[in-house]
Amino acid sequence: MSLLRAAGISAGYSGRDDILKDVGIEVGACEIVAILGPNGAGKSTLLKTIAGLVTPRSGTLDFDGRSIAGLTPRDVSRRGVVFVPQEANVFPSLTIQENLEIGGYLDRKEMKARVAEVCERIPVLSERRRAKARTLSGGERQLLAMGMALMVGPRILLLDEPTAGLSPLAAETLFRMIKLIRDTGVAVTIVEQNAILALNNADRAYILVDGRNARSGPARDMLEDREIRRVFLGDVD
Amino acid sequence: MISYLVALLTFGAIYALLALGLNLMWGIAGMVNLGILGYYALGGYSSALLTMHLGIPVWLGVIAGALITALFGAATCIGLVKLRDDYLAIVTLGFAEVMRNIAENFVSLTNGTDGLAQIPRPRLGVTGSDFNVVYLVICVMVVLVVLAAMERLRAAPFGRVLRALRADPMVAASAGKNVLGFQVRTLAVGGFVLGLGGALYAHYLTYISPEVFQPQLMIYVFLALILGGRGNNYGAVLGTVLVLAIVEGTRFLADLVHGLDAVQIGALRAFVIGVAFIVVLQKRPHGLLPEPRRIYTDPAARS
Amino acid sequence: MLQVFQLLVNGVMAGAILAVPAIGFNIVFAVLQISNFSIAALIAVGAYAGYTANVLLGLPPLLAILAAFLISGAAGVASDRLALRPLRGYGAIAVAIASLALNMVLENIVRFIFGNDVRSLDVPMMRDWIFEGIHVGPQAVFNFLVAIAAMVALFSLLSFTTVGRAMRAVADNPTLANIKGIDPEKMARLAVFLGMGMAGIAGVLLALDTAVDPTIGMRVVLSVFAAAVLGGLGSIPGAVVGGLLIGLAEQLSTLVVPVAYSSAIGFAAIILALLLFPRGILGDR
Ligand SMILES: Nc1ncnc2c1ncn2[C@@H]1O[C@H](COP(=O)(O)OP(=O)(O)O)[C@@H](O)[C@H]1O
Ligand SMILES: [Mg+2]
Repeated sequence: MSLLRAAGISAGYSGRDDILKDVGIEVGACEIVAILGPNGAGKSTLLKTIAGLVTPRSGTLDFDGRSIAGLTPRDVSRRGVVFVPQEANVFPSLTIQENLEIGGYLDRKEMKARVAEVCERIPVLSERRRAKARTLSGGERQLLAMGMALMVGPRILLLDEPTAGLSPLAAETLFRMIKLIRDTGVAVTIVEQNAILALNNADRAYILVDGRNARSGPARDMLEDREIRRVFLGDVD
Repeated sequence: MISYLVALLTFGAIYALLALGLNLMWGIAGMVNLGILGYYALGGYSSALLTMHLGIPVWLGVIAGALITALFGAATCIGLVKLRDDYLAIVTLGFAEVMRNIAENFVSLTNGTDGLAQIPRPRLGVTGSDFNVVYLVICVMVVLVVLAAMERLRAAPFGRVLRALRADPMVAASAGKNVLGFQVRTLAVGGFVLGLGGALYAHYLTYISPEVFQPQLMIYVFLALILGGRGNNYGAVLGTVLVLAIVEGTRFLADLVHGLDAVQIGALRAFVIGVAFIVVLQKRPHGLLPEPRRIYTDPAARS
Repeated sequence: MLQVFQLLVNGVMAGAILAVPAIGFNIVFAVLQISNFSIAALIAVGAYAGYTANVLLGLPPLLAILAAFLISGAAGVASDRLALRPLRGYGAIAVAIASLALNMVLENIVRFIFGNDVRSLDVPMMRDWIFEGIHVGPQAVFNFLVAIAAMVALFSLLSFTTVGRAMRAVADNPTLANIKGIDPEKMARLAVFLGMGMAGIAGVLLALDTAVDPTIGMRVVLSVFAAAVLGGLGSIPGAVVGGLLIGLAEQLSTLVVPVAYSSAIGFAAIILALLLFPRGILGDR
């Protein structure tokens, strides 16, 4: 049985037409699922809908067998569904230490030990613990956002373009980290611009186009599908 | 009773000018201005001083007072445009207080808190209660003229650009509009209308003092505009009538409650008016008359 | 020269007291993104709460200050809940204007209960201390120290406690704070309580400095706004800097213009300053 299951989701922003039209995805335990698609396809909107920032107008949204549709973002997080937004994903005027502590706000036991643990996993953070988050580079900021998400012991991570602004090398490193996180029993749903990179690292993938499911399947098969490479991944070879 | 009604309507007409001026600035162009009483007072004091000291006729003084206020409005705009809404609210509020401070303390010019008395009235060939009726007619005619002018302005290309500015100054600027130029002209025209109101007030009462700055009046004007329908000129006038009805209606509170002293009755009235304001805002945040929408959409108006 | 030093001392003392409600204004702005102009009336509420505690109940000034903090804070939360919160969806300016009406309502509740009479708190008159020719009133020093203590307490709360961090997180990014599990409504209530509580403290300090009447808040609120705006809306350190600068400017301006103009000078100065820093000195929002 899948851990996260969204089916027949329609959603949009207040006063406007649906952005998502009858979208469905499933994510199994310990699975890395990539969500791909052109700009404006609704990938971020899908993650925001799961996270409770956008209320679905129809469809079902279940996590671990219980509905999470209509919950506040806070309550969704409390269930262990942790969303890392694409932008504005850290608190710029708080220090890195404080950001991590806010990351763990929902479970404040043994805060010190957990901050140390996350810093160990992401060493750049421990070097600059007292610095304000606004002084971080784009890449460091993404890492901090990840670190904050890890502070609560998530059951599933929803990552919106975490490699944006990262060098190719840093992006590889980030994916390696995501795999390590997965190996500790966390499912990951990741929106990614670099489709090849995502498909190389994910177990399965969905392609959204214009707010609808276009294709889905195991990442390996999709990488090898010439049509997908040509039409959706902009591959010209 | 008749004279009470005439006086009430005269004040109503003057306050309608305030609401119309504010509607242009805030309702249509989106520049919040909590300093409207500063312009109102400037128009009143200017016209009073010009007619008292230079002996120019009242009608000329009124126009001069309004023009001075218009110039002043344009000048304040230059200092304000860079500020974001919330800063603008506070700064304009402070602006009115600075003006009050000057009116209270620049005694040689304004006669301080005692105010200017014996401001000449226009020669209308009548006196006493007849004068008041004729003055009321004049004020109502001024309101009608201003209302018609504001309506034309709103519907003209100028008004469309202003609404585009309200929606998003950035977009309007990138559409090649001279944002500052439009805002300066808006505050000048709005200032003219507010100054006109102040001048009509001064020559009606024949007296002006720093009491024109009473903060309630500013609240009433905003309430009138919100109640009538922000952005709608007819709403501004309708709202003024309704606010006046609420404010005057609370006078009868004094007859309903007994055993209170004058201060308590005053406090009770202000309390009721304030609560009414808040309730109206909560129940009718868009007012009674919605802003008229035109089919035409300016390219810059789309966001 | 001596006169300048005297004015500097007076300016710092007055500025510290202005900074207290300016912080209150800014903390509310930071968390709710709303200018709550009813802070003037809540200064008056605090002054009368202090008066009641001190004169009618015979409590010492420090307890009167505590009472003012609690009562103004509670009145701020209750009035925000009833009058302003339902309007938040209609934009910051609608709420700001409604808060002006709320100010009128609260001030007149105070007036209804206590009347317009000027009252004084029950503190002993003390002779000024004189250092090298500079006069300082013991009461003014007490007020200054209370203001500093209130600010230090608030800073500590914001810097070193979980709830303080959570409040700053909401100020930075309410959506992200919500994702992280922070209840924005709860933080908004707390910010209003603390902010208006600070206004209440300032009310007692002003009452100790001069006397109490229903317009006590209105008389200083312009300088408070000036301090808040000058430092940068929503910035707590900015409010302190702004308060001190406005206090100093108002005092020093008396060297060149009559005292009566000092508040106008203070405000004219900030309009000029805003031409250079449209977001205030320490503001980034
Ligand atoms: N806050 C919002 N309000 C209104 N429309 C939005 C908002 N955010 C995104 N949209 C619209 O929703 C559509 C999908 O956006 P998004 O989900 O961000 O796409 P993607 O992440 O796939 O690039 C776009 O047309 C975008 O303009
Ligand atoms: Mg996106």
